[in-house]
Amino acid sequence: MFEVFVTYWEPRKGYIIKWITGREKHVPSDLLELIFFRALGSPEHRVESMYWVQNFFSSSYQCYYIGAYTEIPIIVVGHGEPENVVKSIIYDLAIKIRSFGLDELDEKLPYNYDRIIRNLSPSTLNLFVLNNELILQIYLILLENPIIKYNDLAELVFHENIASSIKDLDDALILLNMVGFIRVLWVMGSKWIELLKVLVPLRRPNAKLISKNRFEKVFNKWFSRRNLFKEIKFSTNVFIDPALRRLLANLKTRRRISYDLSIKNELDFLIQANYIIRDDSAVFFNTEPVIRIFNIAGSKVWEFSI
Amino acid sequence: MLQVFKKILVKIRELISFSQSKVLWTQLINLKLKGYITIDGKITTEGDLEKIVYDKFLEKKKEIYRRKIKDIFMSALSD
Repeated sequence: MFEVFVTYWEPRKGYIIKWITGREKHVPSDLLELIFFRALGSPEHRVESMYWVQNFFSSSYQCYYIGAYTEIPIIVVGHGEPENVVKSIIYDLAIKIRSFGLDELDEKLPYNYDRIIRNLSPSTLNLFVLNNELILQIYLILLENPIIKYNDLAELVFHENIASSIKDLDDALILLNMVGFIRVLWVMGSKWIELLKVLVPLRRPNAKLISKNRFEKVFNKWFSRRNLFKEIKFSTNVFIDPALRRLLANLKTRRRISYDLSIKNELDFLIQANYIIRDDSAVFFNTEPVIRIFNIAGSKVWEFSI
Repeated sequence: MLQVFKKILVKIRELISFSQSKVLWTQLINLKLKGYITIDGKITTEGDLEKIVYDKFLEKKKEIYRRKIKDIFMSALSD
């Protein structure tokens, strides 16, 4: 079990806590003072983002200070286990806050974010990491450049306006490295990034229905960065959100259910992904996502399916 | 693979010490054209040369990986 919250300082109100997970709990003000002192105590380091683990009595808290990217000082705090799951959530939130600020966080977080992070486990962590749009775009660049100098990667990332700061790139690489998708090499003073795992998003039924002479055309369209972005985004969402997965599994068995307003968000997402089709007041099963993860040598290491 | 390149590096050093040999003349011109050695047959700098060789090795590996990734996607789609 773990908790994650975002805390910031407002001159008139003091420390404000915004809960990302779970029920609101009491957070000792001593802890908040301690972590803000750690982040802001040294003026020369206030500009930089910083991750650290703060021990507080018998507990430890993972903290991420966003840095001078926002008007007010913001710290994302996580407490509990599994530690790498908490760390991924903290980094994911930090990237999001840097991208669109704290005010728009509620609006920009997916409607099912709370459910996703509550159900995260080490086995679905890699999918969660790739579900972050900025990380996914960097991953797709790495798919085209499986071994690349860090400086060249940074140039590509900024040229394509994917990240707004080098910290975003660094954080994305930390998470991709943590889930084993990449490794970082140092070659005679140069930093290189090497892709280790390849995630392939598929649909069932798939290409068995494609005739041989059309295969090349279908493949090129499917293999395009734009399509892979959409497919990975949709499919990872299904496998990290148990409610979506259950709903799609249910539809696969029953083939048809009525369009229920109480699960409108979930149904609309599945319709948008074209996993199901809506016809007036009913929805029908169409296709299901399958994710296969291969190592770079070509052997399959994992498969996610409904 | 790195060992292979290290052997090549040793070979290049040998080539340079026998730079008057006609047999090695073409290879030396190639090395000069690629910027590995100077006009009088000296290695640009030992570190740089090793770096160039390793960079080439990684570029080659990148091409191999690209092909592998395409193969993985193609076989997954046709599976």
